[in-house]
Order: sequence, then structure tokens, then C-alpha cells
Amino acid sequence: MEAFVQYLINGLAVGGVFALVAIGYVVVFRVVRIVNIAQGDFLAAATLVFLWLMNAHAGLVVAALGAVAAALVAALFVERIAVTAGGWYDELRAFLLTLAASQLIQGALLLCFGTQYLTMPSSAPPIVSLGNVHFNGIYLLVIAIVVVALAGLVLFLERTPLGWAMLATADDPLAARLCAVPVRTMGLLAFAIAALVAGIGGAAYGAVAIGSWNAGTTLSTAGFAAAVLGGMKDPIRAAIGGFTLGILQALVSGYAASYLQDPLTFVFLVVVLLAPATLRALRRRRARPATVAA
Amino acid sequence: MTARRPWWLLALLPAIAACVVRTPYPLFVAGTIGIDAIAAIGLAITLRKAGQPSLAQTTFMAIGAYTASLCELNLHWPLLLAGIAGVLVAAVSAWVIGAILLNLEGLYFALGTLALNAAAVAIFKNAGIFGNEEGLQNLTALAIPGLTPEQAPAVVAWLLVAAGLGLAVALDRARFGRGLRMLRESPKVANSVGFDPASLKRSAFTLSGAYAGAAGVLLAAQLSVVNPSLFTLVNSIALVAMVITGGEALLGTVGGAIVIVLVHEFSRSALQYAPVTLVGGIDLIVNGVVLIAILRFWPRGLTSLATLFRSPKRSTPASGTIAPARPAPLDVTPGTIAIAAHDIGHRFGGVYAVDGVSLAVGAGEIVAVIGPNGAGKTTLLTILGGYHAIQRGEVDLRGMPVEHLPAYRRARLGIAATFQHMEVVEQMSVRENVLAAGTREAGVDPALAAVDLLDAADAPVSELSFGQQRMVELARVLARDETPRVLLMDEPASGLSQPERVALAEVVRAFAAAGTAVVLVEHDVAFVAGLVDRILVLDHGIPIAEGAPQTLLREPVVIDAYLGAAAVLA
Amino acid sequence: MNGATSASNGTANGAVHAPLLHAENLVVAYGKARVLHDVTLEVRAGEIVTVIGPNGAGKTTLVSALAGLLRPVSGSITLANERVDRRSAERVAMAGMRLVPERRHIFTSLTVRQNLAVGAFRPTGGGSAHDEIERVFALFPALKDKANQLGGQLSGGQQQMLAIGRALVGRPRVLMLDEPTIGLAPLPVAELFERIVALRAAGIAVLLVEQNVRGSLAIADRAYLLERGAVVASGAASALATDPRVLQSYLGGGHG
Repeated sequence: MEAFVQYLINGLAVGGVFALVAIGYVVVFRVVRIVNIAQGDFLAAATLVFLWLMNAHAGLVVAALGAVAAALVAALFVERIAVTAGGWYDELRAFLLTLAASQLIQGALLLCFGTQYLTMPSSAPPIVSLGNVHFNGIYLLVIAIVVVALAGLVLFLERTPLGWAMLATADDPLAARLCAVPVRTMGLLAFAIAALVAGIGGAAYGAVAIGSWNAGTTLSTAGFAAAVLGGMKDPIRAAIGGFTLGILQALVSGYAASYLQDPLTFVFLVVVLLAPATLRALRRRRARPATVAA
Repeated sequence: MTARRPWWLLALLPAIAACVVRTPYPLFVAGTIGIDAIAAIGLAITLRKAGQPSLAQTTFMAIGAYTASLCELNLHWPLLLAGIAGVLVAAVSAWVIGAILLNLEGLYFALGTLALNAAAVAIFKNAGIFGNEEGLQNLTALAIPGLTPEQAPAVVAWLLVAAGLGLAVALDRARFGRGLRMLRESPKVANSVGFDPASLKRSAFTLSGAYAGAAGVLLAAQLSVVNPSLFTLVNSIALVAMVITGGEALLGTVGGAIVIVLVHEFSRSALQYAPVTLVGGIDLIVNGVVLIAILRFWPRGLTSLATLFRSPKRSTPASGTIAPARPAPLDVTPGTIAIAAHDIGHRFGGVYAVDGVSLAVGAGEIVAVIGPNGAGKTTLLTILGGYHAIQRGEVDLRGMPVEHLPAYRRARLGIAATFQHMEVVEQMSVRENVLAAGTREAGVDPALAAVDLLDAADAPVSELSFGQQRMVELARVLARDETPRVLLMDEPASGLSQPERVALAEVVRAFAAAGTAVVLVEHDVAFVAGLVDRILVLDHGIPIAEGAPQTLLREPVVIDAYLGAAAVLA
Repeated sequence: MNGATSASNGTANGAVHAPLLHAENLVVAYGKARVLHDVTLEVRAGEIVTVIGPNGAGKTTLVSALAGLLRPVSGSITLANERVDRRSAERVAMAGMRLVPERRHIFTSLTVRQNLAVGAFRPTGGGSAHDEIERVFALFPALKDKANQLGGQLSGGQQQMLAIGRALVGRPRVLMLDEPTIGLAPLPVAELFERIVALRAAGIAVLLVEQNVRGSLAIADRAYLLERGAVVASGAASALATDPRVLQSYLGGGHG
């Protein structure tokens, strides 16, 4: 039982990071119609910078700012590369460009930080106790950060004029242009929001896990699976997807084997992608009489 | 590639060269290029021809490699047998994975394969049978009498490249290839000619899996070792870079393999005294830079160099010697009902686009459906053709209910369609566009002659006027092997000049004379008035009048529909 | 008309002789295909000009080019003495010419009030978004009742009002409407035409592209008949209403 609760909380913390990646996907996809496979790499870059600064004793605030800055640099890089004039809606080409950008970011991280993993400088983490279960208090902080970030994003989108302008761009870019909304700028803003989310997430991830140059791919894949659960539209459902996947991974890792995490992500992704279509097909088959063979 | 000369034989040159050269390093590089080229050609089939970007090509290579290795080590099979097993298992795996993933569009499919790749690497690294991180060792090397152990892999690899190219080119020219080409242009057009998009994609993907399996088997034989680090995402992306660099032509893909591998090797040797991280980083950076450079600045890739070699083939025979195509007469009594629709209803969201339309068209009859904007004309046509799932009503083809059949099945039963938004590939020539429609080669020239495009047959479609591009669509229908029983045309006259309209009208009459039932949706009422036997007028999705053109167009209810009800303001 | 205030620029009653919008010899092409041939038209403040013509004539292309969505191959578009033909759609909207596109294109996932707020994102000449929104509610009272409903839940007629209102909050001097009556039942169509007349009274220059020929000619001051991308007739709306060329355009003169 204790093990289960332990896994649950670990899973929520890691799942929270997935949720942040997923939110980044959703914001960019809604406004710019691009699936940004480099989203996880923004986070990985942020984590590495955060941990490096922490290990250099620069303090939490500087380290967090550094994380956000790293994510912003990476995001602007991808925006310049992948969002070509008029190329917004050529989805595949944009995707391949974000994939290429992801490779470049990973290469840069490898060159800057090497293959070694970075971790938080050793200092006793705050232990929180829940009955017989003891876990790292930072996990709770991570979960709280995710909730706050999500709430902040939703409030921004639904309560501010700028947020409405972004939602309008996502809904109907043509009409938004006709309302004098600068849609290219909205796209940039979407990337900036994704970077902000990634920066915060990267710092959080560094606090509970490790920083490495290739963490981006796993995060991107998991984050994408979670985002799809939200239909690539709804940040709240995407966050729920992230938490779910995190918990599932923790359970599989704890009770079975840790290397099964990636296969689990694949199965989760396939189920999430195919579920709506399969349900629709089943519903149709039940409603229709037998067809005539031609 | 549609050039007639067997360019693919060029791949034999490196094979021949490898028989003569003896220095190990160049032979090794040549072998690596050949192996990657085989996998890349397989990927090109799925990525370019079928339009599905796979990031898991190295996974299928791994499946081939590990299968062959396990057969050698555990079952003591000879290399050839193990190799065949590897290719087969890889192909079957691709078929299974394809059945699951190919339902997904473009980049969702790509991400699915990305996840698959990661999952596979994790399994190969950790499941004991695969030897964990060190993998499997002491695999059988290739032994060919007369060649050194270093020469054998290079020679065999390039022989397989040549064979692989040849096979791909042969398939390209067969119906399968034409189906894939149409699929890439537009699933709608592929459907309209009778191809099942899902089955085409699955076959293409299975084929790529087979190529990957062969490449994997060869890799195992070349290195005598297989381990998971050979088949990671970086390698998959490198293969994608090869295909993208190569451009449309498969030979270009081989060129892409040469470029990418050489760049990797060059950067590695330039940095041979640098620490390991630098080298690993370089691989990633090369992938990234090459992809971005090609996608943004040179999208046509190496294939654009082919124009240097292509002779300007403007030598078409004089138009006089080619008789313009005439649709072959159908075996049908004029007037028997060819297609009938009863009480068709269709909603988009809460609004009825079509509400209670019935229509019956006899063989040899020309019927036009007209009405103001938003009247539901196009929706009706797409329902007749099967491009929308039916919501209400029935559609009969010669008495047989077809309303639940998808478009490609109806196409095979004889329903042909031309569309409002042109579905032609801009860079291909006129002739290639017509050929892509799954027609026989012999049918193409007469069809082009009938629409007066024979002289322009080899020009790229982008050079034609709007009206001429519409005529290419028409030529496709003319070039078909069998005369269609029903021809559905969505605004065929839009954008056509006056002489082009005359040509169009002639073609439509020719089809009717052969017994085809023609249903036209048109805005140009003057055009249809002189052409058709009967007009059906729709307004707001409801039929408001039907009859012969002369009388119908003077009916007040029709005029009101077009000009608006009598003054709404006092 | 209630006592709604006139257009904020205060030129409502002045006799503005120079046209507010002037397009000269516009040529527009899609790739190689020319769709508009040397189209010249003008609209003055406080007047309704309608462009009629059968489908495929190029009416939507014309307003798209005027709105900056398409770049003309040649020709000029002048808005109150400023050349705008090379500007992007966002900048044309900011300069004071707003298009209400065909099929409305309202933001279905935003509420009525939010839709209007987006329209006031960058109003011409500044000003408070709140005031402009209230002015639109005064002009379209039905919208005020539904201020917090999602755009996607409105009826067709209400969506059309919302689309027009969304353009109005940007304080445009020229308002272009592309087939606003399409898909609407007769009653909303009548209401819509009434509202458009009210806009003229407020001093806005209105360019109305319409398929409903009789309805639009009844409220317009002047009209242009567009056929296959060229203006084939123009003049006072009342004159065009009885011109046989109009019927011929749509129904080919009734010949067999």
C-alpha cells in the first residue's frame, strides 16, 4: 500500500511535467497549427540550465530565470525556423522542421553539457510524511506549480483581451486578420507562452529528476500523447492526460520494470489516437443495416 | 521517376567498383552507404509515394537484424536463410504496425512511429534475449568466393540497391504505383478511380518494412554485431534526411544517402581527436542542419539536378495522326435509369444542405443541377459519388443500392467524377497527370488530342492556363479504360474561356452519345441551357423546379430564386 | 432609427464629394489565371453601393482584394487618399476598411461580448472598446440579450449581426459585406437590410456584395454588375433594377 502511494505521488510529479509539455503543445498548435516536436527539448534545455546554475550556487531565482531564458531562446529559434511565411498550414513540412530544430537543440545541449547527467546540488530535500509514506516535498511543489501555471494560462486566455485575441486567431485566423489582430505576432506569443511553461516545467523537472541532453525526446512523446487526449485543443484535458500518463508510468515502472515506460507511452498514444475513431466506427456499424456486397 | 531510361542501373557501378578496390575504409563506407540507401529507398516509398512520414524505419531494420542474428546464433541457420527470415519478419511486423497506425493522418502517424521507435529501443536494450546493451555478437559475416571479407558487404549492398531501385521503379509504373501517386495528390481522386486508399498505404508500408529488414540483415552481416544504439531516433531521422535531400526521384534518395553518410563520416574524421560528446553532437547537428537547409532552401532536393540530364522531350507526333478519344459505346439501352437518388437529406451541423432531393438520370441523358449559391448542389453530387457518408435517402446504380458504398467502390462500378477544385500536380507534366489517374498509356494521347492538349503534353501543368488545367481533369476521364456509366461533374465550365466551353460541351455530348448518364452541377446557366436535356433547380437544399431548359428558365419561381424574392423593403 | 450617435468622425452630414474608397483598374490573378479585369469602382461616405453578379463572377475576389487578403497584380486601391493596395489585411482593417466575410466567420468558441472585444482589439483612431461595444448593442439589441452566449450557439441571422457588429466596433469608415444574406430565411434578411440602411444614416460607406439582387438594389444608391471578372454595367441602383442585362447575367436571358 505504501509503495502504491509512493508511486502515485512520483507519478503525479512526473506527470505534472508531462502536463506542462502538453500545455505547451496545445497552445502552439491551436494558434499556429504546428505540432512542435521540440517542445520537450525546450524543457530539457531549461532543466540543464537550471541545474547548472544551481550547482554553480547562483541561487533559486537566478536559476529559474535562467531556465526560462533558455527555453525562450530555444522557442524563438524554432519559431523562426518552422513558421515560414505562408508555411503555417503545410503541417508536415513544419513538423519536419521542428524535428530538425529538435535535433539541433539536442546537439547544442550535448556540446554544451556533455553526456553527464546533472542533478540538484546535494542538500537534504524536505521530507513530507503521509502516514507511513515519506516522500520528497519538492514533488508537492511541482504539482502545485503545474496547477498554478494551468490556472494562469486559462485565466489569461479567457479573461484578458489579449487572450481572446489569441483564441480568436486559433478559432479562425482569417476572421482575426480582418479584425486587425496581428496573427503572426499571436503566433510568436504562443511560442513565448510555450517557452514560459517549459521554463517553469524545466526548473520543476530538475528539482525532482535529472537533467540530460536527450530527455527532450521522451518528454516530447509523452507530452504529445497527453495533448492528444485533450484533442490538441483543451489545456485542461491535456494536463489530465499528462498526470494520467505519469501515474501509469510510475506504476509500470514500480511494479514491472522501468524500461517498459517507453512501450507504455506508445500503447497509451495509440489508444488515445485511435479511440475516438474506433468508437465512431463501432457506433456506425451498430446503426446501419447490412450493406450490399458489390 | 518516370524517365524511360533505366537510371537505376547506375547503382551497379559502385558494386563493380567494390570488386576492384581493396582498401578497407572506403569499402566500409561504401557498404554503409549502400545499406542506408536500401533502407532509405524503402522509407521513400512510404514517405513520398504514400505520404506517410515514418520515423520508425530503423526499428524495422532492427527487427530484420535481430531476427537474422537470432536465427544464426540460436537456430544455426546459414546466413541466406536467416536473412530471408529477417526480411519476412520485418515485413510482417510492418504490416501489423501499419494496420494499427496507418489510420492516422500525416503527423499523428509520424508521432506514433516516433513513440514506436523509442519503445522498440527500450525493449531491445532490456529484454535479455536481445543481449541488452551490448547486443548480439559473433554474427556470420558475408563470404563470397573471390571477394575479400571487406569487399563482400559493399558489393552485395550495392547489388541490392540496384535490385531495390529496379523493383521500386517497376512497381511505380504498375497500377500500384499509379494508385500511390494519386493517393498523394488527393485521396478523393484516388477514390474516384477505384483505389482503396487504406489498402494502398498498407502495402506501401509493408514494402518499406521489407526493404528495412534487408538493410538490417546486411548491417548485421557487415558489422558482425547488432546492438540497440544502431537503431535509435537519430538514425531514423538521418534516413528521413536522406529521403528529403534526394527529392522526388528514388535515384535522388540514393544520392541523399551518399551525401548524408559522407557528411557524417567527414565530420567524424575531422573531429577524430575531439572528445566523444563532440562527435555525438555533430551527428545531431548534421541531421538538423541538412533537414532545415533542404526544406527551406532547396525543397526539390537532388532531383532538381535531373533536369540537367533530361532532354526536352517535345517530340510529339503531329496531332493529325492521333485520333481524338471517343468514349467507347456502352452496352445499354438509352433511357434505362443509370443512377437514381431518392429523398436525399444531408445536414452539416444543424443546417440541412440538402433536404428531400430525388433525381433519376437515364443512360445517355444529360441533366444539370443549378441554383443560387449555397443551394446544396455540390453536396448532392458528393453524395451521389460517395464522398460523404449517407445520412438519409437511397442511391441506386442501375437498380442496385449503393448508398453505403465508399467512393472507390462506386468508382469501380462505373461512377466517374471531376471536381470543382482541381486536383492536378503542378510540377508533373500534363501527360504524367493523366497517367497518374490509373489509365493505360495507350489511352493518354488520344484523350489529350480530344481536349486539344496534345501539343502541350510534356509541359508542366503549372504552365497551362486555368482553363487548360480543367481540361486535364477531363482528359483523365477520357483516358480511362472503360467508359463510365455515370459521369458526375462539379462546375466543369468555371474559369473556362469560350472556345474551351465549346470543347467541353462536345466532350460531354460524346459521353452521352456513348450511353453515359451525365450529371452536371453548374453556375453558368447559359452554358447548360444549350447542352442539357433536363434541369433541376435547387434552392436552400430543396428542389423547386425540374424540366426542360427552354421553359424552366422563364418560370417566375426560378427567377425569384436567383434574383431574390420580390422587394423586401417597401 | 433611434437617436444613436453618428459615426465618430463627425463627417456624417457633410457632403463628402471625394470617394472614400476608390479602386482603379484592379487586376487580380490566381497564379496565371486572371480573375478580375480592370475593375474600377468607388464608394462615398453615407452611401450604399452594391456589387451584383452571378456566381463565379469574382465578387468575393474583389472584396478580398480590397480588404488586403489578396494582392492585386496591378491597379490601385485608395482609402481616403491613402494607397492601401500593398498592405496586409490587418493593416487595411486598422486603416478603417473592414470586411465582413462570406459565411460570417464568427469566433464560435468565444462569447458574443468576446467576439466584439476582438473586433475592438485595435480600433481605428483609438477609443474605448467598451463604448464601441455598447454602441453596437444599441444598434443590434438582440445581441445584447445574448451577450454571454457562445457565438456558435446563435442562429444564422444573429451570427450575421454579430459579424457586422464585430466589424463596426473597429470604427471603420468603409464597411464591406460579402453576401450577408446567404443561408438566411426571409425575415432575418429583411431585418438585415434595415440595419444596413441604418449604417448609411450613420455616415459609413457601405459596399454590399449580394446575391439577393432585388433586395440589394432596393436599398442601394448605386450598383455595379460584375460578370466573369469585369464590370459590365454600373449606375444608379434604380436604373439597374430594370436593366435586362441583369437577368441575362444570371439566367442567360432565358434562351434555350
